Amino acid sequence: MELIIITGFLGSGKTTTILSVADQVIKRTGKRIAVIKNDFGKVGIDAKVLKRGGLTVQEMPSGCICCTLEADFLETLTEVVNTITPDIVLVEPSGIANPKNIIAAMGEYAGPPFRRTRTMTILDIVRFRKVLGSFPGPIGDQIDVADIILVNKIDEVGREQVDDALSFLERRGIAVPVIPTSVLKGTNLDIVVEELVRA
Amino acid sequence: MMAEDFTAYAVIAHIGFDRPLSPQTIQQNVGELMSRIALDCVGEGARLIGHIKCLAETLEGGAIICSVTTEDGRATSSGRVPSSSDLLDVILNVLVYGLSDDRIEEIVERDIPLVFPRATFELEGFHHDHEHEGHDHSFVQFEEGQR
Repeated sequence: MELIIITGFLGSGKTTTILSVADQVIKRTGKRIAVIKNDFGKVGIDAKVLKRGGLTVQEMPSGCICCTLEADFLETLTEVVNTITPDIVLVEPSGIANPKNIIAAMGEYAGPPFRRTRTMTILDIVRFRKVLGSFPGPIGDQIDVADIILVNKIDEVGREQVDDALSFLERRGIAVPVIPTSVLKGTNLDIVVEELVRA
Repeated sequence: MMAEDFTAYAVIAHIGFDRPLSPQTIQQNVGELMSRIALDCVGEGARLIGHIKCLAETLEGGAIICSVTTEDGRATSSGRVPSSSDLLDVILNVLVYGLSDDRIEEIVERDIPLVFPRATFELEGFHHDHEHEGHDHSFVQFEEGQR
């Protein structure tokens, strides 16, 4: 069993990515996937969208699992693991979450063990500099804990902007796979799936 | 957590039309509504759009998912409704920095009748403040022309 945390700022494309790759991962591996979706708002949209996409989703609305809902998250995760018995649990925190806190919270997890925990961080290339400028610490944390980084929405910007983000990541010393994508257009999704199914 | 001056405004808008609107009109108007809300949020002082998104459903089934993340108000949407309808439920999330719940609600109340003239609507609100405290389950109900 594997845990994959899908993190990224608000609107970066987390839900769209899950919708786009989950099906392909299931087809490629036959594995059972469960999604835990944390929406900050009381009336969440993303969990409904994921369910419409045919995925098994456990919703955690009204708060942020990286801080106030930490205990609820561990309880939900344990329940999902015990009742659904998935091969892969995808966790999509709210877009304002710091994944470092979620990874730290996993130290208290007492359910059936995960063989591997990975974090996939999605960067919105259109707003990358602006969001990074507003929240250098938390966005930096999202980047630093990543095992895979998607530089998303490349269809909406020029090559220079993509190169700027890639250079930034290189200067930061990021050594994990960095995949330029347009999840909405399907660009490089096959590479993302390949990374996710890698043993 | 990136929650300083963050507001997560969530509401369900129950919108009734005086005659059934075509799927194309519904799709176009939902996109226009999201764009207007985004532009008005920016115009009224939001310093950063987090995500403005909605799920619009009709009784006939189907759904439109629409999203704005940039200050130019450009909306992207997916999905469709299958047939004409005179009722539309729009679950709306406005996640922005630098604007209060009340200001966002004013914008939503102002923009719905601009995009859907001759419509009646009710807002069923579930607000969440950035302190993680005090859920406000207000229920706002009025018809166009009665405010």
